[in-house]
Amino acid sequence: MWKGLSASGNNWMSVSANHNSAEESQPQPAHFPVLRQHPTGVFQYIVNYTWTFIRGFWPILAGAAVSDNIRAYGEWIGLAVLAIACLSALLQYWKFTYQVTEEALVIRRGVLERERITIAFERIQVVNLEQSIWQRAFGVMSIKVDTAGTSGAEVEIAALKVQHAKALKSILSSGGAKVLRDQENEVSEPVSDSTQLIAISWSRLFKVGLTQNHLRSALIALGSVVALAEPLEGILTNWLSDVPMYTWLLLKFLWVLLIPFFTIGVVVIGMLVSLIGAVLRYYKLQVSVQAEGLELSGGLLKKFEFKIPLHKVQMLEGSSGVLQRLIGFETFRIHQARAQSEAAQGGVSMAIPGLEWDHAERINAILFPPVSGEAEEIRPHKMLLIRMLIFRSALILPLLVWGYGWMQIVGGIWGVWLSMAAIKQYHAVQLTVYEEQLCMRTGWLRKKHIRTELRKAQRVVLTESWLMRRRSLAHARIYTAAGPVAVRYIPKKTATKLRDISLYKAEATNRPWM
Amino acid sequence: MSLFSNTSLRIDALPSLVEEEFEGLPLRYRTLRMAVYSIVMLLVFAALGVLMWFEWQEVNSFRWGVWLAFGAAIALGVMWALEEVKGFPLRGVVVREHDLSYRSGFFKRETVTVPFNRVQHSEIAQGPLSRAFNVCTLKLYTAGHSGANLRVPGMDVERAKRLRQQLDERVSQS
Repeated sequence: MWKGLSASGNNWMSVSANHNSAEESQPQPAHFPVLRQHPTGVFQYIVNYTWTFIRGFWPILAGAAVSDNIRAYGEWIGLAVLAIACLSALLQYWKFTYQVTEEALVIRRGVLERERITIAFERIQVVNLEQSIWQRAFGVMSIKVDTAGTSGAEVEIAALKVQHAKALKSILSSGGAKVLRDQENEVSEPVSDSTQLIAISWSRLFKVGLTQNHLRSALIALGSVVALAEPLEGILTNWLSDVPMYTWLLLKFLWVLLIPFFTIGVVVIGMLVSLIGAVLRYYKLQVSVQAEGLELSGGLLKKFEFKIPLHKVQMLEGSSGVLQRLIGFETFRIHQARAQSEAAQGGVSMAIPGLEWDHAERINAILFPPVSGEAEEIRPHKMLLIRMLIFRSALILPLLVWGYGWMQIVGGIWGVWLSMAAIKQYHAVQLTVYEEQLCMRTGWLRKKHIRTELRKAQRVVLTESWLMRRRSLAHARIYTAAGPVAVRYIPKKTATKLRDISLYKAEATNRPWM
Repeated sequence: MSLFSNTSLRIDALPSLVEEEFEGLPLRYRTLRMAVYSIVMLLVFAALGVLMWFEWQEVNSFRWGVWLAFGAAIALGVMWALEEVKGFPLRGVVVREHDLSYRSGFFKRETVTVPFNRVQHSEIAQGPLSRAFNVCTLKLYTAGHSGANLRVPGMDVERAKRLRQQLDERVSQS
């Protein structure tokens, strides 16, 4: 465990001319076949390349679109880019091989610089299967493996036949417990001891869609409309000039009457967008528990199957907005150790929406040891509230001092709202320490609670600034492999006690924690 | 799950990290920090001097911006000096049987503890300047988020190597 540096021991081997001879010189048992992806992987690579090209060069592309000289050769440039993308995709496909041995997945890839990645099964945090809509037409899936190594080793096999992908997933996520004899025999028969935990029905899906954050959805819709309006400007002005003149005159005086219509429109659009988003993401979502771990699957256009061994779950995060609390729903998110700190950077984190209270308790009971022992509640000192108020008033102050009359009124109302929110948020912060668990609650309108096991701690940080030291306060942060649980402005004595107990729990056990 | 369980645990009886147990870093490291401090300050004030000279050539007096920069440089110098002088005795490490802690900072004091059984790998880094002073930076990495999770700068090289060896032995035992 010490020697295997990050999860994957990356062996960089630069091979000059003859790849084959170099590969054969590697000690390689014959009975583990070296496999290639399904040919549709090439398409996947072409799409990826084109996309990265567009994302990387879009300012240049936009400039080129304006200049007439370059536009004349536009097709040629486009064709050249496409040709390069195709060629490199073919090469990449040809040079990508994988091999499943007894305890590791071995991947060789790279065109100019050959790379050999060995991922031991026990090091794998999460296996994620994805199938986009065009992949479904070919019956292939892509498989993603996250190892949470320090070097950010996340490996993707872009295209595999569905049954192969499923078989590979069951091998990878079993932690090497069972060895693949014959891939064809292991067609995705559900394991007998799997119990289904949650299956989202249509009505529940509908409710989930209706209780999303509509404001955010409306903003997203508005943003995309604005982004679209830019290229369509010519058409829009044309269209607007057809509107008779007196409409504008009427609008000048009657715009106040339009506000309610506009508001209702925004609300309806927001609701529609969140409904569609929820259906796309959570269609046929299923959560089941098996001996090897938790499995989630679902999705409408882009299907996914996500599997994580139980002991590799680091954190369970529950959150609920006002609307969701109204019908007693909660969204849960499962956090595992991951290389990237942000989920947006390709890291996988799974959300389970629309859980009722007993569901939530069941998930919690499966993932973490039962809540026992006496619970100790830790609350932050008043200084947290004071600091929040100072920061927020600093935000408002310029508006009050330099603004005009109406700005001052708006600023005043906003300030009152912010301070009220600060007080409510301050009172909502609460850390509960059980014998084995930590539970951190925050939030007022959007409530959030994070649960983790004390023994998952891998780093404990106490911070005290000069001002805090005079009141003997401290911040405590307990880092797990998936992120920190932080309580700020608690009494120093409590903070040291928290550190001592979490260190004790982490050091006294030899059970696997990730 | 082990069969053995030991539920009645009193929190007061837990081994606690005592502030007095922290061992200071070698004095060579303080000399190094002082050297860095004086070089940076020299550069800052040299730049200020050039700025003031040009200002004097141009308007034959100093405008308020110059005084602001001057004040900021002095304030920075004093704060940093305070951090170095008062903060250095606070810098220190404790190596216990199962974990390593590092404390640092005067204005913002931070104590980081990493249990040995959560360490994924370790690293000893040494730049040219720290090589001249025979000190090094010990870095311990844990799983998940990238970056060194515990950095102890200014450790004696011998001590860091010994510590690392101990770590290796501990891990190979378990």
